[in-house]
Amino acid sequence: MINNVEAALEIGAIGITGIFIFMLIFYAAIKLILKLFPEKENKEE
Amino acid sequence: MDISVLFPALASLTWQHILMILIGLTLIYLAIFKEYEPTLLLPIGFGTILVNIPLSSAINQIDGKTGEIIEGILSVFYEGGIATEMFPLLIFIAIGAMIDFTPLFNNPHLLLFGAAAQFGIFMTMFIATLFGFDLKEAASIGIIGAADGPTSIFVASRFAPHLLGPISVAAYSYMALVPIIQPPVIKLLTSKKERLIRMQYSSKKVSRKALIAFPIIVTIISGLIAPASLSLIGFLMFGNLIRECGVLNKLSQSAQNELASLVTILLGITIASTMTAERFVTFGTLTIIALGLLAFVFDTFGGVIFAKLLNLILPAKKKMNPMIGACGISAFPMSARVIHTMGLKEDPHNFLLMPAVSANVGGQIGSVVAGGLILTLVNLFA
Repeated sequence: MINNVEAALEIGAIGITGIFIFMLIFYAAIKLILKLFPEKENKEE
Repeated sequence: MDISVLFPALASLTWQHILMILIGLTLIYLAIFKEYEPTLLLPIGFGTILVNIPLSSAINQIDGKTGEIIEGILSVFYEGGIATEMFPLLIFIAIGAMIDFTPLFNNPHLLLFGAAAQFGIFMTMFIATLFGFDLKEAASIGIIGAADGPTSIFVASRFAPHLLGPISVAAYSYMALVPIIQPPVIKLLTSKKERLIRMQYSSKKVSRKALIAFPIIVTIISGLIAPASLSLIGFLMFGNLIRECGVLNKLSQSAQNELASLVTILLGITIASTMTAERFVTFGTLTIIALGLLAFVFDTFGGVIFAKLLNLILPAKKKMNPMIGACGISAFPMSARVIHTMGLKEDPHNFLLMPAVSANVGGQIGSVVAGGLILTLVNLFA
């Protein structure tokens, strides 16, 4: 049981860090995509 | 003649069966009269009645004379649709076809809330291990915090199929209860001043090419980093590509309507095949239902606290309304609506809907990424 608890803690730490890394990569991907494929008639509201 | 010969089902009826039939009726009541996720809770409720009538031909039974298994259709559906992961994955195509990523392109930084609000998954997983659940069971319980029914079903069917019934019921019930669960937690964590913060929101038109490139790039990146997440994210993004490509409008409409409806009916009633009295009437079920609630509370906590932490480093003009953090869960658009309404209650001129929707779309991606990571990490540790 102690092993499970420790493993869950480790998975939690790696998991939440991993999700942030994924999201930061997706953030960068969105920025890159917007630069590569800009909307020609950008109208800010 | 003996009653057990004339009416074998009646003679075999136990209090556990009656309790399960009452649970089925309650789910049907909640679905119809309270409109709590009726598309799933109604089939699950009816299916629960169907499988808890003793000797039901809807599920596999063992022939008392020959010892052979007499196949029931719901057991066949389970083997074909859930054990193979086909039904949840088909639902992902439908969900992908329904998601519009434009709000995320307008404010991509809000994607980070989709990460912070997954905190509940891992916290609940940890707590579940303290209750004696093994790692795979704990992960399946924790994933209720994804606030995403198909992801919960996908992970639970792989790691803890025996817990699929209570996990599905908890996931869908709490998704419906987001308007009741989130506001008190948010109020507890934020001050009136914080809830009054107004947010800037940019709304630009996004090119078609950009919206087409996004699902393809996300799939490739996710696959290269965590291949185990590829079926989850890939099917979601495939559905989105069908939507955004612009040349498959008929398929996109079919995915959003016919496919979603058909698979939802089958998914709901098939999940019910696991809700037999022998499996469901246990102390573990109550623990799972309680832990599921905790998962949603910790999700809200994670999102709100992350927003508050960001505010410590952001300049005064760019401060975030911490309530937005709570939208990082996947319950779309329920969570965004809840925050928008809360914002209006504090200040009738504070419109938080658009940033809330952006964060909520981030939550839809975040929950699937979390599911993929759980699949990868638990396999490494278990």
